[in-house]
Amino acid sequence: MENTILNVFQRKNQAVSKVLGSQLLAILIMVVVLTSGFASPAFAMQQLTVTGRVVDANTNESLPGVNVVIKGTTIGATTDISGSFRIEVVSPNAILVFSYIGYETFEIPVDGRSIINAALTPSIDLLDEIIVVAYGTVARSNLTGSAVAISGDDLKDVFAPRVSTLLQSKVAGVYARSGSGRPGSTAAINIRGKGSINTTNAPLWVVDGIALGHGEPNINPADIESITVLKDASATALYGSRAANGVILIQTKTPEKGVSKLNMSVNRGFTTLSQGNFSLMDSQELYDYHSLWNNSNWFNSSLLGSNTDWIDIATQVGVAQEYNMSYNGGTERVSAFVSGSYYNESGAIKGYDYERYSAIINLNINATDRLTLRANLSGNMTNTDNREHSLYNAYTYLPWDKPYKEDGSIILPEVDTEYNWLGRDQSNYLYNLQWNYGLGRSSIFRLNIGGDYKITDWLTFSSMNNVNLGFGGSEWYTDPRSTGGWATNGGLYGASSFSRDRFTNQMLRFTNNFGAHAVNAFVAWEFADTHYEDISATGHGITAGLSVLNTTASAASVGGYKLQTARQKLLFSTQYVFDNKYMATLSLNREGSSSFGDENKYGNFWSFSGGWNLHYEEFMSNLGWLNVLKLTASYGQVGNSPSAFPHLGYYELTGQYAGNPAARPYQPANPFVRWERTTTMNFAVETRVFNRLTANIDLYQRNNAGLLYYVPLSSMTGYTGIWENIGQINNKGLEMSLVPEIVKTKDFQWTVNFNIAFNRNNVAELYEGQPISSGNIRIEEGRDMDSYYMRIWHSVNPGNGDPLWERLVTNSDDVQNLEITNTYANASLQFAGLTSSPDFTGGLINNISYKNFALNASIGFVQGVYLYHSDRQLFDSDGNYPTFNHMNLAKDWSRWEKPGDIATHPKPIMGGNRDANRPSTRFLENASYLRLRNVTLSYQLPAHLLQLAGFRQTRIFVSADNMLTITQWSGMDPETAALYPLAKKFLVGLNIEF
Amino acid sequence: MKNIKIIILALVTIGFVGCDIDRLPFQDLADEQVFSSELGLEGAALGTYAILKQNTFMRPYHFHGEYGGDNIALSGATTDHLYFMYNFQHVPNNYHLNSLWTDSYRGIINSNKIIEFAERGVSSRMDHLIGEMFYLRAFFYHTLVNIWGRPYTQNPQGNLGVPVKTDTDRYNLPPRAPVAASYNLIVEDLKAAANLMKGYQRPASEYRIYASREAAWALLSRVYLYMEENDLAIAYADSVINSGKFSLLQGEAFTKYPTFVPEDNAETIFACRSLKDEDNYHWFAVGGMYARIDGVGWGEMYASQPYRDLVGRYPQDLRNQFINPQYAAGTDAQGNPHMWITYIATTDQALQKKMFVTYNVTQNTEGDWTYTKGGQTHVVQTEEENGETLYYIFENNVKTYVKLERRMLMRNGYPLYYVLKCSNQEGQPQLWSPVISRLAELYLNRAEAYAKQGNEAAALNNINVIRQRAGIPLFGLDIQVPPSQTVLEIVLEERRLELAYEAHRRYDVFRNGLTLDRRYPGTHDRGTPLMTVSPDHPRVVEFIPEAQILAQPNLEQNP
Repeated sequence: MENTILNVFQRKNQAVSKVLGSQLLAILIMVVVLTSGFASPAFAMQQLTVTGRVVDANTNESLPGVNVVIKGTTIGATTDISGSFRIEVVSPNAILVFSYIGYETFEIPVDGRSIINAALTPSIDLLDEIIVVAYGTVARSNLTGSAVAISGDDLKDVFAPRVSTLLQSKVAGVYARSGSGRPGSTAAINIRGKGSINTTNAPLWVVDGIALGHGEPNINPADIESITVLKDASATALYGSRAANGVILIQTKTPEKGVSKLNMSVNRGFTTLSQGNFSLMDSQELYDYHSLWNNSNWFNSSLLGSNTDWIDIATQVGVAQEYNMSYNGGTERVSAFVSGSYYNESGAIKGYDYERYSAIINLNINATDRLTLRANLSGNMTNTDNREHSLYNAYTYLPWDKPYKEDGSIILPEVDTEYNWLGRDQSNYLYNLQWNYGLGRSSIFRLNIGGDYKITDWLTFSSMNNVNLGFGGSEWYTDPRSTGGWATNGGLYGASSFSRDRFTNQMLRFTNNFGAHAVNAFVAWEFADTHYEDISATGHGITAGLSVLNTTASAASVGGYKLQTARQKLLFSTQYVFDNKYMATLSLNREGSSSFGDENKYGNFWSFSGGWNLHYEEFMSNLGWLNVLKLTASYGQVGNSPSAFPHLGYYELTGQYAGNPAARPYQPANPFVRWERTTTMNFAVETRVFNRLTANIDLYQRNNAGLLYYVPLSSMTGYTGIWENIGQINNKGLEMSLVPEIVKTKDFQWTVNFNIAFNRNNVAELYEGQPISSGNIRIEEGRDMDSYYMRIWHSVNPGNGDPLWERLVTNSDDVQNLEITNTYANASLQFAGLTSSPDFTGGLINNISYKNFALNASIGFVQGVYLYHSDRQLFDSDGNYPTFNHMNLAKDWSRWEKPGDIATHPKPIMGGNRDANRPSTRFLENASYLRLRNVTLSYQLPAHLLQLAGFRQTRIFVSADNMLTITQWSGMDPETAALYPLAKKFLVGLNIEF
Repeated sequence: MKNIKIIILALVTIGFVGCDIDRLPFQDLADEQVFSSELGLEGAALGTYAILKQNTFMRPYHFHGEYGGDNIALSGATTDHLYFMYNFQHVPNNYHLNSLWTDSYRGIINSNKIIEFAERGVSSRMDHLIGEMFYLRAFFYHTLVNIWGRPYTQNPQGNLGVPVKTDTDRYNLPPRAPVAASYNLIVEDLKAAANLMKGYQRPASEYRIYASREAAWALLSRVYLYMEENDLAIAYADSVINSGKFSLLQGEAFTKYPTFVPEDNAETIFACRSLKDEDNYHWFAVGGMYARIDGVGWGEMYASQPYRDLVGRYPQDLRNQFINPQYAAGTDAQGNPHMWITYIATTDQALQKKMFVTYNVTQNTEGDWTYTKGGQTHVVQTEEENGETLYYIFENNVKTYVKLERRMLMRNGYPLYYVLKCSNQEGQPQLWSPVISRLAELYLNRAEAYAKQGNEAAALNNINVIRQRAGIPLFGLDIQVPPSQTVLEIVLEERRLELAYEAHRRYDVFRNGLTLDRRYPGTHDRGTPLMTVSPDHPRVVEFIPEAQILAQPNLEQNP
């Protein structure tokens, strides 16, 4: 996050304290005034009104959104859609500064004029944005690694509070998969495939320069200025031991000098459950189905008297809302970005509420011409209130059971036995929901203090220091009246956790240009440690409605956990650029971690890369249509490390026998355990032609060697496993992004952003060549690491409706023959030839604007993913679970009923047909999908209306998420593949800038 | 330029000196630390008990021994893999059996460590501790070999049992050994255990919840019984009974057996102690399958009809009180409880599947019981036989005897006959300290061994001890052995009655070459059922867990 370009303030000898005092006070007052109902832009005396219009110097087209500021003040304006502005000038000698991204900044003295028009010249290279990379920023044209930047504006389309969800389908090679549609859920991210078996495959998250770990930080997307996804080793080497799965850098909004902008936005919408291809049987359907096979004494037509729709009972139209208010601005000396936000969403499944308060203050102080101080204080508070209806029960409860008595009170099957509850578990979850609940809360405070001291023109000392404090808590209340409270007279579980992460980085940065040579280098030392602890307790016996452990009658159990980790590293990095044509970067990182023993405590990580901007070459200058042609190549090594202590052999003392502490062997020692080493090679071509089409192609290979693997030991060793560095997994792939600007006229613009990524995973080597099995997956050399290994479903015997599986039989000549068996246990475990890794993933984002209207549509797609639909074991069980509800047959499915039937489903039998519903490829389904993630239609209020209202910009929009999903998956949602699908969301929003 | 030097110097110094980045776990101790002191050794020894206590061991241990028998009947289908243990539709990926295998060997290896590292002869208490590890190792092997190896009575030298491992070498992964190899080790270990534990006795507050010399003898008696070494089975039973340290609970106390903590229970020789709250597994406790108590438990596995018939033969039999029928609420107009008539119907002649048939009855003004069927009211007929009123109805024109009983709650057509033998310790619904050995078993061991030796009088004397406590007629005094039964059958019947729901039944059937008879109502009859299981059936043993074969390919699968 270091700024490479330091803004040097010219006035000297000013007392720092005075600056801080007066300016901070001003900002505080500003914040107070603004947030308490901002009326009109204050702080300007009415002397002279200047109006004018800003255009592009080349095309003469008007430029909306240009910042116009009176030099040395916070007074400013922004041009409207027609490029016009209006500003009150205090002094006739004032100087107006026009600034706009992608254009040269332009200054002009007022000289008493009341109309000033300006023509801005585009920057040398429109594409040459400055992007945030590891430990600094770089001009895009000088980048030699694989990094993709997304602006905060492009991030926000789907309505969700978590960044991972918003990254979906936007960056080639970033595969983000939501695990649940519950409010506040995150998506699991894989960058360029998976390379680890027992350590994480999640990227490292870095916020404002502080590496936070592999868990997604809870950041308000509205506060994000940009996100950079670092994909190859050249981009990630400086993050060393935890960078093997790529890095996601989040940069929060930086304070802008010389402006004063207040932004408010309100979004409100509703959410509904999206049931996809899935439907459960109603009373009649279930009755007809049971009629085929149910011979129980309780099965008769009186069941049809009830037709309960349990899904309907459990679902609702949820409400989602978000309010943001932010201020950005300040003087040359002190500037700040201040933002506060509130997000609230109630689930499409009843009874779950998620809310988040977040705030951030980013402060920049140019204390002297040499010293710049930065402070970054942010925090958020998340609360969840969980009285959630049980989706599992909604899926499995019978339509023949009634939830309520005639008087509307809830049936309790245990007591109200006259209602003859049939459902398997003889319980009605609605009963306990009357009282029981769970609460969760978490607060995070991030405090960063740092700064730059310019020692000479070419040497800067930078310091960055950070403390992150986390406080978590949860509470589960069991009412004495609820069935769970009968035995204990009610109870309360409470837990609280505390975490403290410290980080410090001291850096010397060298930046100099010698003629056509530019050198940018740094050396740094860094230390980080973490501390986590929690305690929990359960009390029994509570007066109904009370919610503190102190009021429980007896203590039932206590728990607690502590963990500390530490890392330090020495970094060196240098970039050399010659004549803007040839670039080379070298990074070295020696890093130590508490996760390893003395033998391998420190590891070395490195990378080098080079780039060539062909379009600057003389011999290319005659190709007028070619705007950019850049080649880059990189090679480097990064690591992946576990979170605990794989090198230690120890006994675990968490158990007890008869109240005395008991030590159980936990793991054998392996002092030689070291980092997983990921070697990455990347080649990239970046082009732009006719000023209309940008196309990037990346080719990469990522070899993950010395895998940290928890080798499962035979139980006969007394352990379940041991950590070893074994094996190698390779990923190679192709990523492509195409951005054609299809229509580019004054009133009508249409840009498409298409990205697609192909990745091939291959297990190159395993310990002694031994395959590793885990559930339905087997990791074996020469295959994708997510290959299914299970019994292969063959068909349904047309003669008698038996399930049939494949069986491999080795005969006496050692020849394997394929046979068919109707006995589950005899069926052979085999590779199914299918994997859960996608063949390709990608997205297609359309941005269309016509005059003041804009239409955005983003589509995500995933192809070639197979997932095991385990829930079908319960509700597609061929009679195995007669007291669970069943799903209706999906399209193209059929059930065997009489000899000769060619069917997908075996003959249903009371108690199940020969284990037909046990795990096999029968329930392995294609979970590929194409999803319309978001459609947004927005309207920008015209300039004359805005001026009347005193606003700079006003945008209103309507948007819809997850409107359409095309898939073969028979469940509700191919993405989550879980019970809780993603919700459909409909939203209206308003954004005003003063 | 002074500043720059200071800063560079500072940076370089920090960089070279650096910070300490060593960190250690908080809840763990290194192996050396554990084995460096007696206290550490004791903690490690307790670890073996903690493994024994784990639900991942205790539940499948109970399920296999009991649910594979005929004292139980399940009232539905379940996603829990106990289903496949109950209905004999064995699957090689049953998670219960995998965790049972894993926990057993973890317990064995932990015992091996202490046996290997702890020095003998240092103190009598330390010797006792080592002896306990020999005992537990034997118990784990006995469990393993009886689940995955065929009964000792069927070719123990030829049939494969489980791998026998007595060392701590991580790299020594032996293949399966014959059944006899495990039994040899079990016998040796138990003898070594008894010998090491002879010089010390744990205090009364610990005696019955840790292994002891008497616990080793008790297990030896059982092991020899399984081996049909009848003399030795009798001899070790004698040792326990004659030690005078145990006495049978009597009267009401006996009916509350599981509610006492084991250390206060005079009949208990060794029980695995579950601590109130801490070891309360609630719904997932063993008792959770048998009964829903105060809202805790599924209550899906009921006492089987043949078991109830057997124990109900004498209504005064105290063991009836471990069965807890759940009656329908409310009363009729006269204030009497609701009644029904019920009989067992055969729903499938070929497979001999059975089901309960019930009709709710009400008493009319003449005092006759009537029920409604097909919209018509029928009268329950009666006849007198030996002073007893028998009830019958005509079903499809066939005279069908029925029982007139209090109306019960049903689940899927199965009346709720809860079992309360694994619940209610210290008033906590599903808290239970599983009993490994109790005195009653020793009398039954002795009785069976005597019966097999042909010493019928001694056999009957021993079961009479048990029958007297149960409050039912004694053989040779009150009643005689009926000509249709042998003394051994009488003895095994008594063993079944007494040790029901204590994970013995399955082994007792198959090791005695008997056929398991499941021709009674229960959801084991669903799908393609095994209504009877002969002692030579492949499914007398379980499949070796698939995950274990994958981790150790030299394990041969059972057919």
